[in-house]
Amino acid sequence: MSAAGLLLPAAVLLPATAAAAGLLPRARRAACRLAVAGSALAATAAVALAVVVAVEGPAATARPGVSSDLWVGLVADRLTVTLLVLVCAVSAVVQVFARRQLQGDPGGRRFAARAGFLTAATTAMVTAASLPALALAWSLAGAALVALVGLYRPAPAAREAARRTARMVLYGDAALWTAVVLHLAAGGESDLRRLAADPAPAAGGVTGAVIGCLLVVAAAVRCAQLPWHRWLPASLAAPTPVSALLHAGVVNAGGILLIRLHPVVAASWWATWLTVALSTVTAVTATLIMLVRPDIKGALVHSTMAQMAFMLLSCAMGLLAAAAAHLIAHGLFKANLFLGSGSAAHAHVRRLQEPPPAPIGRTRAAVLAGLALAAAALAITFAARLLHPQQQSGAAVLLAFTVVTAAAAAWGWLRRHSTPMGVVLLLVGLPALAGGYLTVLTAVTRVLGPALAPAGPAAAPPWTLAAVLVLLAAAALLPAPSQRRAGLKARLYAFVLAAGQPPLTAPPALRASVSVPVPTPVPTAPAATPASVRVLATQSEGVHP
Amino acid sequence: MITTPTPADSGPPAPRQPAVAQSASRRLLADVTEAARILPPTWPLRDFIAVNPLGGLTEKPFAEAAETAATLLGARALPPETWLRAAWRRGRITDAELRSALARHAPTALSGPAISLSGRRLEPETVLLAELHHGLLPPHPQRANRTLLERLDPGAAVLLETHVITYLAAYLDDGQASWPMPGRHLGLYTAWRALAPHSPHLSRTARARLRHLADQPEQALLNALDELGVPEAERMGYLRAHLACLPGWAARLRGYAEQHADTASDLVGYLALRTCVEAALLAPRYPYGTTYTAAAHRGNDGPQQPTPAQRAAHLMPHLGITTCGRDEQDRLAGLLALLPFTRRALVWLEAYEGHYRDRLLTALDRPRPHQQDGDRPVAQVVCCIDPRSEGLRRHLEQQGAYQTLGFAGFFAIALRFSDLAGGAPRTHCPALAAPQHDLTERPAPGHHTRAGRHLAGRQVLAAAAQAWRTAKHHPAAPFALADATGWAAGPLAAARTLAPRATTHALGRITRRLTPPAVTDITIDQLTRDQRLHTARTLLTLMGLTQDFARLVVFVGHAARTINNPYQAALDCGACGGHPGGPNARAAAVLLNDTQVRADLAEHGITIPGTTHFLAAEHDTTTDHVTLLDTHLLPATHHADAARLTVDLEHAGTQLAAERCTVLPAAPTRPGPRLARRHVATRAADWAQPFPEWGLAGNAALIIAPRALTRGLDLERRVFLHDYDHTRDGDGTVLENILTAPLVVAQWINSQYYFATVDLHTFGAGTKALHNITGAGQGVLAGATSDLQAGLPWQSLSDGSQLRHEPQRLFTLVHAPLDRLDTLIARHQALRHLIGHGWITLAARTRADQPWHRRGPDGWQPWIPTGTLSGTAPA
Repeated sequence: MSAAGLLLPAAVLLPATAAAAGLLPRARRAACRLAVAGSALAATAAVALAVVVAVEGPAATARPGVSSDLWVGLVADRLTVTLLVLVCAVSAVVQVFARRQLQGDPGGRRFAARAGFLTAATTAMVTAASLPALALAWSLAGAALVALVGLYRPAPAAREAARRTARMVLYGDAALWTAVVLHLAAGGESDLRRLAADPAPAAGGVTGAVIGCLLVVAAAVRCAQLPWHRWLPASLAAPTPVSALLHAGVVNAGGILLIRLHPVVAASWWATWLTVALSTVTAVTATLIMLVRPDIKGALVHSTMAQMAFMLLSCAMGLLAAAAAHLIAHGLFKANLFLGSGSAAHAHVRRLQEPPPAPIGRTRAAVLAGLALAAAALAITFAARLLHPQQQSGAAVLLAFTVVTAAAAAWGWLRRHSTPMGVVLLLVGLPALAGGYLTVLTAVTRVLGPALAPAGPAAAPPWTLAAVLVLLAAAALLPAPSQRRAGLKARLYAFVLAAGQPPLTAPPALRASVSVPVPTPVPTAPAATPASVRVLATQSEGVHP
Repeated sequence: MITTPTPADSGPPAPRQPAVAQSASRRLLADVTEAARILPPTWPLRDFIAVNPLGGLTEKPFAEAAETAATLLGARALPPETWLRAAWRRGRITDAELRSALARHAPTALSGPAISLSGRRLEPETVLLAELHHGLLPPHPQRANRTLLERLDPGAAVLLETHVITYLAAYLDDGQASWPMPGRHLGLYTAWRALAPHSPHLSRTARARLRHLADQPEQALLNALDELGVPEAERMGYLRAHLACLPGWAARLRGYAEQHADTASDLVGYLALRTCVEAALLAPRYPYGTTYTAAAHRGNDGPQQPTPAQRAAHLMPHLGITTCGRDEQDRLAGLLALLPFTRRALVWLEAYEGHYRDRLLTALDRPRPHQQDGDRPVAQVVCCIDPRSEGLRRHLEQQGAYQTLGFAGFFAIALRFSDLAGGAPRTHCPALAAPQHDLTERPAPGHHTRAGRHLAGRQVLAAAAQAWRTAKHHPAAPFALADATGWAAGPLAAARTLAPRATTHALGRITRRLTPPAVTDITIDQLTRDQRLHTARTLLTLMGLTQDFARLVVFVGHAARTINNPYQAALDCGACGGHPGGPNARAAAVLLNDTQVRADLAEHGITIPGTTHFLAAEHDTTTDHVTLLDTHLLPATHHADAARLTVDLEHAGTQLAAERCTVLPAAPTRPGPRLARRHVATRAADWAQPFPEWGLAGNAALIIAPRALTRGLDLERRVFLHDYDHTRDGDGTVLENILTAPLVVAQWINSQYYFATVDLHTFGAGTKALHNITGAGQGVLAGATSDLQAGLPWQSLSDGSQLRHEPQRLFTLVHAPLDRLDTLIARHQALRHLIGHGWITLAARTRADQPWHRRGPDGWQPWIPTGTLSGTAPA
């Protein structure tokens, strides 16, 4: 058996084995250590596998089923192995983090086991070689997700969150399984490798449209898109490491599904436009909610929804490499933000310790804004010209997003550093950053490109993404404290504020049951010395107790 | 002049109306103020200041306040008896201690006649002990005082709370949301009134009603109460029911209103908001003014308390009795009725406290090796009264001839401080005091270039942070931002998790490279000559340091350095308002090194020798590193002394770190010096660490006496130590200051820990794992939405298997003449309440060779220890 043939199942099975071992009564005390070891080994295997794939090309561990059709098996090509490394690495880091963060916590061991199962299911999902295997792994990951969200049951909020999540997972599973059955019944290809290589879908017409739409629904549910988004805010009833795992791993599953099944989805205009509709509405609404949320985790959750919408929109446009790159980068970005969400108070203090930016007049503001925009546009254009990052249509719109980001950052920089030195630093730094970013993006596109299907015939036109950009840019005007259209803005604010407010599950003041799970510590035993207060040894004796 | 209307008033109503309205709103304000007393005004998380959650109830005896808290808040204010019984089974409480607590709290029951049950004669003490050990447990307290909506429509009540949290969180937000609440500057009620009619939470009819609210919150509240039919006589109680619905948010709003004097009516606005929505939700179902009477008999009952008869029936098997006559059982019930549940829990608590207190008093009087401090000490080191300083002082004293003193860590200089960059000033003084001076830094002479580089670096970092923040909060920018920065963020998160110390140190090195630490002087120019003299004199007098100065006098402030910790401020110096104590120590040192000040002091009888230099330092309580500050001001003559001090402080810190490792969760149990240092440094740098240090957990006592009383004793960092020598305090002003300021602050801190331990869900903050910072440091939520979590999380109180903080009320020991204490207690109502009502226990004596006396309700009684220090655990 080849190295890849061993490493691939190892990466999938190690987390699950460690988690299962941790559930044994004898190993309960070592459950967290086992989970950490399992996820660390899996991450090592994934990295090793990535090296093997890079050197030797795609590998697979597959057993054809009864017929020649492939039913079970794992495959490691450039795309799946990259995702495998992401999932395993995030999982290992979160397991190590949780081992300290959840020390003494009543949910610590349960977290270790359930996160292990989730990791295993997700790795199986990203590397599944066939459609039924992918759907099976998808469902298992859903079950693990529900278990993780309900980690703090029976606390009312955790119970409610698990209930909501379970319902959504069922919707998604039903949609996915129906799509899989329809696809196979219509004589569709079940081997995902061949599906990507031969993009002609088996089912056309109405069946094809239904299959595509069902797959989009399954992906949208997992990506917490409107109107199936409520489970994601509710999932904050689980501890911080769960959120990190969720936002770096689980929500990406929708994107992975659409990328891997792009030939099926992109064959139908209906599916494409359903994606565009769902993700446009979600991107705008979730962004507005993010703007008004006063709590850090609430803002992060809604930001994730908007980011997932952006990714789905990229998928719909057939920009699969961009979608994959976004999926990975956003996962890392959000995991970092969630794990570090405890520093929000201190960050605010640090901000207050600096003198506030001096108020500026209209003219100066206009000059600085113009400077920021020009610097951003120049830097991105320059870097893009130099690197030719993407040849696909729609890449220009993606670059427009980058320009907006760079301009916003440049504006923020100039607000505090509009001295000549500041401008020089900006003019040097911004192109360097833009170049670095586009280099990474180009590299990712080059690496993943061969493993990705070409854009389908029904890919959405680039103006859809441009429309989203315009809508979002317009939303930037809302927070300005001007009196113009104050009534309309108040109405919109009240609507958005309420839309982003998760409902309470139980009145906080009627504590019939505990609101939050906490350990029940025992009293300390009396000190070994008869008095709890000891007399120190004298200095001359030189002994310290 | 305001006229009060009388019923007989038959004048024309029109001109009278303003007066009527004015007096009605005055009465309303009085009611609101009274109602709000059940909640303490709380501070934002970033200036975490300990408060006594039941601080408004100290005019009641402790047991009564506990019952009030149970009725109004549904909170437990005494430790659960199951837990205390477990402590008894482990030998932490002995029967002797229970007996002595019974004697204090149930003398009538104890002195009654023996009762006979089915032929067995049982002494009351036997029965009561059995009751303590095995008696029926009361149900968990529940709020009995509930709002109309809670009673009539619990589902709608949840909706109301959701609505209230939505708007309160948005109103109190200090910069997290990039789209702030419109009209926020106009106050809570006005801002909410403009938005609420558009709120899709509420039904269409309710929204329609909210369109026609009064302009003023007072009027709106009065209208809503009228509409609900709440009679004025019961109004205060009813408002309390509303305030108790979201106690965390309401307490924070009360604090916010007090800290921003311009929005003092926010609490009225809050109640108006709540009652208006309540009235709007209930209006369709009940005619005007009838709701209150309609709800009179619905759902306003708390849990059923077991009767004495039930308790007696439950107890009999534990007394070894299977059957007995009706009248015998009644006699048993009668005896048990003399020990109601609250009293019983109080007996347990007192026994639990007594165990520690007896041991502490015994230890204080145990003969210790004589301390030879005849010579002039090498240095005098003044530390904060914080219990953590006890460890540092103890270890430092072992290093050499150091004299240490305990004093409130703001060093009697109430200041607002902004550093070299000149950002928003932070208040560095206890919550009891108002800051008097605005102090800043300026570059030290000859260090302007370095300071310039520091400031330039700060500007670059601030601009980078602003760039990041602007892009993150722009609606269209986060997408590419995530794309671009995720590749770096992922490895950074991994490094922080897998190698926390190395990563944090590397980041620190980069920051230091960019912003080289500037050598600065803290400026005291703002103080006039009189103010300087006055401050310096107060400082030295209160400290009891007016003669015998050593060559070096070091003021050690303290601070904690942790990362990713919302409760950072809870670990900083409480006497500095939850901020680092360094600036105060620096200001004190600069002040006392001033030649003019010294000359003025000499005229007032305090002669500081020319060879004495005052030095500032900061103790990092997380890593136990003590850094000497402003060493550039040190004269060359003192360099050797400072060098020696640095070495000794380093040794003391290492030993203290090793000592703390033995009680920190998942720390090496018997670490060597190097390992101990590394371990505490790792904890401080670890973003996953929920237990960076134990803070003030375990605090149990305050000792106001000369250090000689405690020197050479390991008090396990559980005792606040304030130096006081009554022989130098002829008129008692120093003692008065100590009793009214540090004592009160220590009591607040102690109460914060006590109540959070006793009822984590009402007075504590649940678990850190769920914490969700809201309002850029206003507070934390548990998960997506909840009441604002007050107090401390369980990670500050226990390690998950054993409680680190033993819930005990503050035990205060004073070395001072008893009559002087009597005078002071009589003079200050707050002290009368705290001591007389059992919120703290005061024991005193004048000199070390006298017996301790306990201050009871009827004056001083000799302290009677339980006598049996080797109590045995029962089988």
